[in-house]
Amino acid sequence: MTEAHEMKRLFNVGIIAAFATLAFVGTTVIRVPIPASGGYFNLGDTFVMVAALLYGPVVGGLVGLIGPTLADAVGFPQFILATAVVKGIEGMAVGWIAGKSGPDAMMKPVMALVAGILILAGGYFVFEALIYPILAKGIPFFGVTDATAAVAELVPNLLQGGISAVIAFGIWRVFSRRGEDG
Amino acid sequence: MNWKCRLAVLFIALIPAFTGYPVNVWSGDIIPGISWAWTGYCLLANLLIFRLVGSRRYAGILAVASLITVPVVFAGGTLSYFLWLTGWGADPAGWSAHYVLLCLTMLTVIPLALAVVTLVPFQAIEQRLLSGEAGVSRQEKNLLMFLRVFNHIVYFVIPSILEIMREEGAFRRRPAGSKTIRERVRQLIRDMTLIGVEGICASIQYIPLWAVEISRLPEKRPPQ
Repeated sequence: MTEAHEMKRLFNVGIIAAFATLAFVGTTVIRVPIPASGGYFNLGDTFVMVAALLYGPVVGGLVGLIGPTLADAVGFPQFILATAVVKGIEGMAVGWIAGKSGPDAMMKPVMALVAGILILAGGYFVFEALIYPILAKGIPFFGVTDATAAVAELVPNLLQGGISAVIAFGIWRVFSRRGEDG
Repeated sequence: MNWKCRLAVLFIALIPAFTGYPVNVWSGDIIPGISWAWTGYCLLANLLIFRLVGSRRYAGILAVASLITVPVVFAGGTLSYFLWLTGWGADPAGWSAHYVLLCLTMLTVIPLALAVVTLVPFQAIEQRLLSGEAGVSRQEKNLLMFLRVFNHIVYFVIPSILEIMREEGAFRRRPAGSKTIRERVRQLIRDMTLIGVEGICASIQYIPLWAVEISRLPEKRPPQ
């Protein structure tokens, strides 16, 4: 491997580490519990979405997989499985749909963020309404949600995704303009 | 006991928190919904941490854990109570135990996680990797980069951002009622965007430099 390749690889590792740590902090510091499901509202998605918009699907997916999952490990271990899958897919999808968008091409990033919000809300709904109740039959540890709780969590999750997406869009605009200015 | 043994003990202590075993097997409640087993596990885990990290570090760990736990539990309880008052939520008897249990879980898992971070000698690991005469493997280089970024954010970026937020908050204080709700929401989103930009800039600023430095470390060669 050439030194340039090695540097690029290490740069990507550093970026993933930085955004995963920021997503972990964003998820841990601002936590508002959702009474119906036992889950919680947070703004860690902002950093997953920004990482995906700025560095693409692989970085976005890995940031989504590592940061919020570590945050769930601190206090809400039952949600680790759902978070790892949903936020990993969310990061990958946002990065993949946005592609390489300049500061003037706003349509793709907006579409990517909307997709991210839908994956976040839909993904948790699927896990809480379908997958967790099935898993709970064999492993009582997962018996924390049901279909009613999943429906009650849809609106808070959409709100969480929406607020995170608005902030992520603002951050992306700042960085993409900076990139254009050199 | 060296730090690796202490870490192993902590990981073993974490198993019940992540699997529910064996604490869920033992029955017997203090109050409905709060079992003796979970309460005992919480106390034992904290006692273990106190023994492994010492009183001074444990005080810091407990302070951080309480700072994270208390707002979450009280926000949840308050929200549930307001929902009940407005006729949307369930009776407090149905969820009070849930928040007590959440408090116990968080006061167990957060101290355990923080103790793990406290016990790992990041600086020593970094120094050992940098001073190794046999070279550094690709995985070790990745680990080195990860450790540097993590340390930089936790010990430098976050305290600086908190300081900036405190200073800017003091400047922006206005008399109550001078802004509409819409203006306040817009201001809040603008502030959060700025904090996000500042946090990201401060977090990634040295990554290109570290990538160059770490990539130039000698590769580990297989023994001849």
